[in-house]
Amino acid sequence: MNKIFTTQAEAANYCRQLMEGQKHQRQFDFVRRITIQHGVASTDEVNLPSEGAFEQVGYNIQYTTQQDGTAPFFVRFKSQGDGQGQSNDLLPIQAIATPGAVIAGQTAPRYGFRPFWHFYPKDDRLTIEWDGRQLVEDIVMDIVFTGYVYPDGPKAGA
Amino acid sequence: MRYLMSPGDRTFEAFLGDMRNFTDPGYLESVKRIPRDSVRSMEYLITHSLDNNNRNSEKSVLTRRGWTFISTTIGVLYTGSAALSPLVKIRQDEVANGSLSGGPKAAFPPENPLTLGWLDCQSSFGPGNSNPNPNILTEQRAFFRFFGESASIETQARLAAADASARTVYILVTGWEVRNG
Repeated sequence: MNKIFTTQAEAANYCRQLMEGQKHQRQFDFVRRITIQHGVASTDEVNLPSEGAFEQVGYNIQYTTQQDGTAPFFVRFKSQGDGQGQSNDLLPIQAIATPGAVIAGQTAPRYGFRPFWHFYPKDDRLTIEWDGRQLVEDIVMDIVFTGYVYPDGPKAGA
Repeated sequence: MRYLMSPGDRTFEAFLGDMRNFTDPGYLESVKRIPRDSVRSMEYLITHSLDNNNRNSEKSVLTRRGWTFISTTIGVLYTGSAALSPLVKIRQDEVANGSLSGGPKAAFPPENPLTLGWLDCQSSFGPGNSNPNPNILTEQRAFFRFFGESASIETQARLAAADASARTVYILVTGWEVRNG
């Protein structure tokens, strides 16, 4: 906050505007879980916040591993408005997951945040392509999306 | 950061400057004008498969037609034992409209290579965990470069001299793409 208030009323008014501004934009995190089936390549559609447009600024990805501690699977993100995808190819999960340890057969704690900006208008859809053909066991992946939701933001196709 | 938008185009400047000012009266109008399909994150993956019969590999990928790509970070991870690290080189070539036949060049001068000599993956890129396959990359590192429309990101990967194992090397370049025109 870089404002200087000379009166209490001014400060109160500013706080009120901040509160009311939450109707237009507020920080928002949501998590989505996908099961990557061994021996299979497929897609999953991810539900985005229904309240309004979502401005993603980054994410945190966590996943379980196989019993030998490996997790050779690949993912690619595509939105309705960007049919070509957010990458040119399916990406190895280790290249985009946030840092963490490896605990064989379990979800290892993964800390931090990977910046990746993408704007999804309201009613947009996110599809995650995944390839688990090198897996011998199913893996569960959790993605925490961080960003801002705009309840009055533009809709898909606008 | 100001992106490559048309002069006088206030939409994205409004987005960057005004979006988080809750008291701006034009705030909601700025939200409605977000050029969501003009600037966004993008990443390019180049995969090299190496073994004792194919110890050196060259590959390239073209950036999308109609977009300028500004890389911000790069990460490399590879399968196999961490005892011997593969090596990589990165090169850029600018071509106009995807033509490789020597037509007019794009606005950015073609400067290559982007790396001098072979870079050891372990010491030159983000730290990783040497445990499972592939070695887990824990961080990418800064790698700033402009790639014009349909520019070529070219990479080479090779095994270390004493390495006879089979490895897959993944080179991931992440950045922003900005719509041209």
